[in-house]
Amino acid sequence: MKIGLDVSQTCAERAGCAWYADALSRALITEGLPRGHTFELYHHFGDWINADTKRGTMIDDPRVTAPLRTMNSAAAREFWHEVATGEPLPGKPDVVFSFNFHAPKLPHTKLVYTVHDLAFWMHPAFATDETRLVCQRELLQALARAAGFTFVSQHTQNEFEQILPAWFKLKARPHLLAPGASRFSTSKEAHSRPDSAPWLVVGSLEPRKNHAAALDAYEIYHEHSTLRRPLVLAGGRGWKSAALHARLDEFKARGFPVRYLGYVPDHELAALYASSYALIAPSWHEGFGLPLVEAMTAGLPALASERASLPEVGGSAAIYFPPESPAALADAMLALENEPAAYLPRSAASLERSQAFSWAGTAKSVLEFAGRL
Amino acid sequence: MQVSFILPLYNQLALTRACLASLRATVPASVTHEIILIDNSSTDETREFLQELAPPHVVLLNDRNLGYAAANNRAARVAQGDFLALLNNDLVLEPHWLEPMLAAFASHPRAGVVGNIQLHATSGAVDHAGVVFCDGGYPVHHRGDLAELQAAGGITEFPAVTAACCLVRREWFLRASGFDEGYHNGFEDTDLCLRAREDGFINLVATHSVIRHHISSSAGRGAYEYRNARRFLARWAPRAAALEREWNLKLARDHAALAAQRYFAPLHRKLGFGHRALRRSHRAALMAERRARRASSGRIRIGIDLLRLQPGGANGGIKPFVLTFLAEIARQRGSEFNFALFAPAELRDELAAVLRPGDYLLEPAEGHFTVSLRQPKGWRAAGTLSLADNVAAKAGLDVLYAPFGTSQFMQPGLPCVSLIVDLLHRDLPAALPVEEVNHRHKWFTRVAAEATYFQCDSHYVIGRLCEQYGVNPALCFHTYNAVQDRFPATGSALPAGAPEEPFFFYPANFWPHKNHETLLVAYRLYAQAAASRAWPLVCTGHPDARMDLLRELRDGLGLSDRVIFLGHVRDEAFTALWARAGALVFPSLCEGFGMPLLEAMRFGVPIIAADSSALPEVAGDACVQVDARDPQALAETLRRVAIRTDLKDALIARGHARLAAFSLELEAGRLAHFLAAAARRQAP
Repeated sequence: MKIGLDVSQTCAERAGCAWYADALSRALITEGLPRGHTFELYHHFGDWINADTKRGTMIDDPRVTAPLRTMNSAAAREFWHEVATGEPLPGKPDVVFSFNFHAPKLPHTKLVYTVHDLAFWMHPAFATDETRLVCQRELLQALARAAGFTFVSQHTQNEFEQILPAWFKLKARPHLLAPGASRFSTSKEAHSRPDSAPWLVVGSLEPRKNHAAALDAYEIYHEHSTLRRPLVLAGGRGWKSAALHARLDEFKARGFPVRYLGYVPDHELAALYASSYALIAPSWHEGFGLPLVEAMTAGLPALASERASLPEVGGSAAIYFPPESPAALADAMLALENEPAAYLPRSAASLERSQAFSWAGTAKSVLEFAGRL
Repeated sequence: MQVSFILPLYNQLALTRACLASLRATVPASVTHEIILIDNSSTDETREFLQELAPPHVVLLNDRNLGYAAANNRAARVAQGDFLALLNNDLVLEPHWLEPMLAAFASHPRAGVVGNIQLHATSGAVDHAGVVFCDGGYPVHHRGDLAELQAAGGITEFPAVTAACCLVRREWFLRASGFDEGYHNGFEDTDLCLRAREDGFINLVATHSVIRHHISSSAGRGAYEYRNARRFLARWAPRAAALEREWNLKLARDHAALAAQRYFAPLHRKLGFGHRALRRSHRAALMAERRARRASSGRIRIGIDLLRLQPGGANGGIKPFVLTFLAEIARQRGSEFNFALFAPAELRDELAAVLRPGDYLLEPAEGHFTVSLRQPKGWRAAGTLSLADNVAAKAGLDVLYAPFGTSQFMQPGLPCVSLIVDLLHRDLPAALPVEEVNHRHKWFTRVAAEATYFQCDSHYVIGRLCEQYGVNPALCFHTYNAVQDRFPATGSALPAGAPEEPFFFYPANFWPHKNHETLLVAYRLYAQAAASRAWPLVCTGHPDARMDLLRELRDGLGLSDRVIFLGHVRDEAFTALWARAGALVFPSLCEGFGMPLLEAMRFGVPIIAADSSALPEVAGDACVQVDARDPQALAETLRRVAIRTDLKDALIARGHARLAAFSLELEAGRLAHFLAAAARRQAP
């Protein structure tokens, strides 16, 4: 098979969906090349046109080409316009994977559309106008255009069934669960952490991620803890986050050991996981929850919101709390800290749970799925 | 019934008795009337006294002190008379006080609030002969010598009058929602008078109606003076200050003219001097007065830039809105206004209804405008205007009206009224291409700096414009798009493809902010649950590439047979659709007004609307509000409205009642008022 892969999002500052596109593309290529498949990487995809493709995913192999990589944005726009009106894609792929929410018209090839999450419909207040308008339009286009669908979690698929009941039955369209996994290799064994190891929150500062609960809980924790571990936040500045940033400034003024690192590139992220005490994932909603699985591969115990896909990813290894209750989160933080003996078993449970997810496994089932289309 | 007298009461029974006695003694027998006494929970014997009264007295009791404004508003809602005579209870009415005030309405068709002269009850000095402004827009009573005031004219125009004793048409009072209840026993009347001016009325004092007033025997005024003044000045200060300046100029002019006449006229008669012999200053004073009089009554030529108008429905709601308003303004003020309308030639037939004999139509051609003069029968070619010329000056424009906000004819020295329909590029930029966002921002910045007045189609838009572009609120006015009556009352046959059964109706062009995508998803959720009982969904709008895309999305959702896109529909067919529609669903994410809401109210169709932008202001309680971004909430609302007859009936009834707040006459009158004020360079 000739397989087209959308890596457009990997060219910009990467968030969850972009990491998914990067990691799954790499895994598909690793698994696919020995099976005789060849690949095309598209660094612009549909309406997602990049100003600069330099940072985009690249694979150095003659069987993997990147025909759009050197195109500037004007040429790329023109190119996708021609594709929509009948021009075949270069390399004439048999199947094309869309990872970036876009569903362009591809008259000559089969489109497989990845559904990352339906937060824009389930919790519209947690999506920007732009995200909402683009994502819903493109998902609806996918319903009319795609030959198959993949879901990054069972929960996302359940939401799809909830908003579009009986659609799969009606249209008899094939679909597959294609969960994400950690990009980092699993730690060898569980180990304890020093008293100075911080609590860690990973994710850009936007309302859906519920950082406010983490800060509220930390305030309670700080008052009751004897160790007073620091709190570290990693993630882009986000949007609607002015109040959060003001809050962080206030914490700093009050002498709380809270650090906001901004966007952290992935090689530093692995080290950050390795040196932290535990992960806090307080989101109102997630499509998958990459930080949760990645923290678990580093052997971190995780305190996670009980909503959306997080329980599916954390399994029985994580400790859950209702995201509307900072007090419950603070209790969980204090309980974990006050029972040092439980730390190692929790760390081991995380390591074990993280084994349930692997990019190679997902890539294999995706390749098989594509072959059946 | 001709007159409803309204007296709000709070204690002071002795004064009330005296006032009532003087009222009964002075109402002419020929005037049919009622006397509404509304008691704000008096603590003296007032309540016992009120029990003794019989018709024509009507007694209303408030179980607590609602204040002056709310008491009057409540009384106005039950009043029957064509006119409301708003009276304080500490007046002594003198014979023949009512007749001159009624006469003012008869002789002045644009009379708004009519007051009279009030004398201090004990000293007899003139206490009120109209309200003017001082100290930057603070209202004060105009006083003076009774004989001089009466010599100046029987009916004189004032910026405002006191409501201690005034007459106002009930219909307008109710439409304007009466007194602003945000004030506490003060400034309500001046606020009302300025709103009357905004609606195109003038406020008058009937100088031969003279009564006596026990000044400031009313309770509770002083306590709120500061708070009231702040509220008043926040809304009106710059405009009231302009009225103050204008009033002072008028006083100076009148004084100079009077002095010139007094000094010169006797000499002139005695010696037979010619006009040249007038002292230069006297001549100038007389000329200035004559010029001012002419300026406030001469004809105005309004240039209207409709060059961006398109045939069919591509412009959306702005086209019926502007054309209906212009036709109404021509009807109201045709004797005062002439139009010079700039528009593409292919729209000549559509515009014919707006133009009257004497109006010009200017159509762009290569390098020039072709000018045609509207005549009683057809058109007369009236030459051309080169684009190289100053077109506005050559066309003799007194004021420019820019319904698309900006206009190529805007220039220093030419007053301009710009219509701002929304701030979509700021409120929902994601719904526009980035080039369009930048383009709009650029022209908004220019218009905000250069236009004289800003016509906004809701208070919501005024708020957004002032916040986003720093426009002074005093330069803004709202006109609701009350053009719901433009459709014929009876429709043609249903357009081909429309269902016979009740349906959800969404008339809107297929612009991204209209939110058709979420509606489709919500509708599918609803249709799945309601199965065979589900109403179909009908969408109309200018057919374009987006409509084709939405058709594709509909098919992808498996809704091909349930969701119908009809494209652009003519007025008669629209009426037919409204007659059949089960409910209007209006999930738009950003609206400056939302004309279909009024159309639904008119045709008795229940409304489901988004809970954001201007829609709550327009629909009020006559709709089910919903977060239109949330497909599950929207679906649940569709389900509820489709099956619940009691809810539908309540919505229809409330919609019908709400329509009273939207009168084309008043809304267009307000635009006419600001166009005239801009053209004459007067304070609005």
